[in-house]
Amino acid sequence: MGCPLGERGGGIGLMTISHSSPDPSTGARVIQAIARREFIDLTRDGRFRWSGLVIAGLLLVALGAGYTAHRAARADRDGAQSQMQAWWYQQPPKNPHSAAHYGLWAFKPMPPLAFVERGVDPYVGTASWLEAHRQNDFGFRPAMDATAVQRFGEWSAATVLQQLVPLLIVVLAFGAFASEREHGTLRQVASLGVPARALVIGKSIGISAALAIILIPAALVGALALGLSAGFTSGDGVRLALLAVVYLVWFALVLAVVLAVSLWASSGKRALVTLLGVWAFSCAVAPRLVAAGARALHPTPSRAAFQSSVEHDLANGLDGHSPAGERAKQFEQQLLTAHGVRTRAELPENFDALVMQASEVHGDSVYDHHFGALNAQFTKQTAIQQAAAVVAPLVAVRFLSTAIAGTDLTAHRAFADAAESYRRGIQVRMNGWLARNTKPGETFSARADSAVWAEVPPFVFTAPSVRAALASYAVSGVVLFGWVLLAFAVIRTRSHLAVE
Amino acid sequence: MSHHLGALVAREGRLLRRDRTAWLSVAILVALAIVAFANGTSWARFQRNTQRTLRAEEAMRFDSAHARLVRLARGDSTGITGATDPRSPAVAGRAANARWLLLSPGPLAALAVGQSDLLPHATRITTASRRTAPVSEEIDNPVALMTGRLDLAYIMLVLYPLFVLAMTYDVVSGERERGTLSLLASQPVNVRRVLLAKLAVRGAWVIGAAVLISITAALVESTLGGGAALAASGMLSRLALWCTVVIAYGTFWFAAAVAVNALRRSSAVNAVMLLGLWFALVVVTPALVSNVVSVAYPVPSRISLATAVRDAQQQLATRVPSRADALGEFLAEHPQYRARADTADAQTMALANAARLDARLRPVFAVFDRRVRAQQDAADVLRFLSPALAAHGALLDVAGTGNRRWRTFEDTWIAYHARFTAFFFERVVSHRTMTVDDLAAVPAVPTIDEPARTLLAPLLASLAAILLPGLLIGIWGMRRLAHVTTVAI
Repeated sequence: MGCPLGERGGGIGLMTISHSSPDPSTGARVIQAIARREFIDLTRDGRFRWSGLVIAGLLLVALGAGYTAHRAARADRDGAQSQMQAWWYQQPPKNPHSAAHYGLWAFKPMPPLAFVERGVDPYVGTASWLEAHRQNDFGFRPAMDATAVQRFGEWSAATVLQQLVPLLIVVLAFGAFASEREHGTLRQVASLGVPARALVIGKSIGISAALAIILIPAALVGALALGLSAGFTSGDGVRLALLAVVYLVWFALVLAVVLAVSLWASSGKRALVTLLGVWAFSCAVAPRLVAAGARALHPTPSRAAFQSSVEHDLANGLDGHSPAGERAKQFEQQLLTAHGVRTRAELPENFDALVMQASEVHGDSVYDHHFGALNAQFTKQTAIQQAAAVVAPLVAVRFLSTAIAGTDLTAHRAFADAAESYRRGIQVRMNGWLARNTKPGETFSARADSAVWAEVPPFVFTAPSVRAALASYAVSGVVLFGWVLLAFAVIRTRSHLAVE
Repeated sequence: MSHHLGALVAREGRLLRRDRTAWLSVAILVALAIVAFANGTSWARFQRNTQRTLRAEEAMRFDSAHARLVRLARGDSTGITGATDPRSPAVAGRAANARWLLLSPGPLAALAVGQSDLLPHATRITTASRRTAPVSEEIDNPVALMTGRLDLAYIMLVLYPLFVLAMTYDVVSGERERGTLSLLASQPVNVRRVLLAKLAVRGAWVIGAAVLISITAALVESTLGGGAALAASGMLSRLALWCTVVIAYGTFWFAAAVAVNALRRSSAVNAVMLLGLWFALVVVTPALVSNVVSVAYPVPSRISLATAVRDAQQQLATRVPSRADALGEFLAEHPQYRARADTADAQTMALANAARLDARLRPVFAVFDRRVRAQQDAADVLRFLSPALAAHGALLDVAGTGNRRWRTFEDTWIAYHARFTAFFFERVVSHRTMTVDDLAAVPAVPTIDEPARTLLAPLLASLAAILLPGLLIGIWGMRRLAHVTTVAI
């Protein structure tokens, strides 16, 4: 721990080890004694108090700020969505096609755990206008209205847990073996016959206990905040528990890496500098490198290029050869043949409305093609990032954390798909009503009343289950466990060297 | 051994050049900088290419509109319908003659991505209301946006201090731990001068590397990356400002290392203290400032704006005034059209209704814009709390990718949109048809100009925020170094 000589050495007298036979009960007592010693040493250290206080403080501030912002935003969105829905139903009598153009806005809901893990929510649009003929992308990214400082500095509870608690673990545990070896106290402990394995396990438990003092209050506050939030369900409790598990695994991984480096390093100073370098690389550099690499391997088009290719395909058909006029002619031919009549007037339904719906269907296929290609690129980028978690395990933790909280990209896409289905449903119903109840010539002058608007069910979105959310991130889970196993293996093989 | 500081520095410099870890740390910094620069330059290039395509497309549209007007003037109106007739100013003001207002990447944009990946860099100007413009920000993976970009500015703000600290944290404590400090004290040399020389050389090593990296990056960008030519567009003055910020920021951390070295603690304690300072200034203070700014100056959500737009539309739809009243409202705001406006003209009425909606929405959006700017101004003021925040703001402003330049872009957008719509509205209300001359007379798109001298005042404030605490800490540390051998722990 880099503390002055003597402090650690004096503690050995407190250990009541009478013999060194591998008796399980004394083995457990040895571990317990070591753990208690480590715990007392740590908690008495001023450094622990300061750093622990700062991290706990940051965690609570992040939770508090996140909770208040989340509650306000959630109320805002839920209220706005029900208002939009009400406006749809309260439309005055008008032409259904005008109603379809009026449409309504879909506002992305905030999942309950978003106050802990904001995920991609500040960076995806929060609103989409569901109108006729057009599938609008989601706009109004919250981060756009924030300042550059907030992008540089803002920490949610999740980022504190992902990046700052590891730093705390480094500061607390870097000297667990390295400093003791440097000061020679490790040799004294070994001379008492303490097995190296007991030493490692005991120290791990002691350090974990010290960490628990800092983290458990924050976890309780988080759980309380979640329980108090509106619309809390048992599913959310399960999510919080899963989140806790993921972070516990992450802390175990970090502790294992720190102890492994401490075992290997020749002095406390070397261990600290190495670990700080590893921490800085893993948290500050690696995730960005991974994102940049994924983007370079699977690039996405510019907004302007995307929009112009969509417009081109809408006008000329997906194969580029069938402009609207031609498609309309073909459609008319097919329809006339299907009904066995020769003119439009003989059709049982309004031809103008049927053409409109056919054009919607064509538009839908164009949008599916282009948005599908875009989403496919994003999926490929995610796959690369997950694979790269082998060198940057923080990326894996982030994926799992955002998936459990419901603030990852797949959750956004699920909502976007639901909103788009709802939009298409509106078109089907409005055009269907026009087809059945109007004659060609009065298609756009006919009026429908609120009974027709009421045929459209309210927009209800159920978020995908945790299992569905985590299914896309199996690789991340595997990588994370792989890292933990590797770190434990390294400790196991090197622990016999601990006392040298 | 000579007592002269210059000779001491030269000697330490020679020693340092043989130190492997010194070269290793510079190598790591250079490697990171290369990746960061590659990131930044690819993004700048992407923006430039996109903007070039947009201008080309705009030119094509202009040519085809021109050709159609020429054809119509000759009496040939094949393929022209009412909705696509370019002689109608209402039609001409929409998609056919849309102009692109572009925020082109500045000469140092490759060095700092800043907010430029979040905010739109190109907007389409038509007579349609700005408020209902479609989504125009660039497509990017939200996970990548969340992670942030590894650009040179990030390296300078977050990692460069760690390199400065890593090179200088154990100069005094290392000498003491190796036992050479007392050896040094026993010789007839000014111990303080020797230690300062060691520290200065090591600090300058990293700071010099950072400056060289920045200069190289800017030069490579301007020659190979297709960026602005060297002398043009103020690249050199901006580069000078960038290097000044880098040197000032590095000097602050160097001063902190000097002060901590003078405290006569062990190397590991020094490392933890300096790490704590880095943590406090680079992590904690920006986090607290972000929270304070978002709580004290909250911005209403865009969702509430969308609801407000709908609300205004609802209100206007339920209380439909007579044509004369609607036109009257419009003319109250635009008296210059009074003599020519006519309720019988559908286009004029459409304009009048759109203007009525805009008038209802103006106060709501004004509040929103005011709050956004208040938040940015508050963040600007609070940057004095941490050299990292001050340096962050300074670097983004110099590169032109922060909120400051985007605000200029937004103001230009609002002004140009007003001129553009006035040009076409004038012709709608007066029933004038568009001619080829009119097409040429459409107001030209302005370029977003931000001469380097407008940056000087805020930059000087930021530099003061970085250097003043550094100077205080550094001078205290230098004084205390004199006592470093009198009490050993």
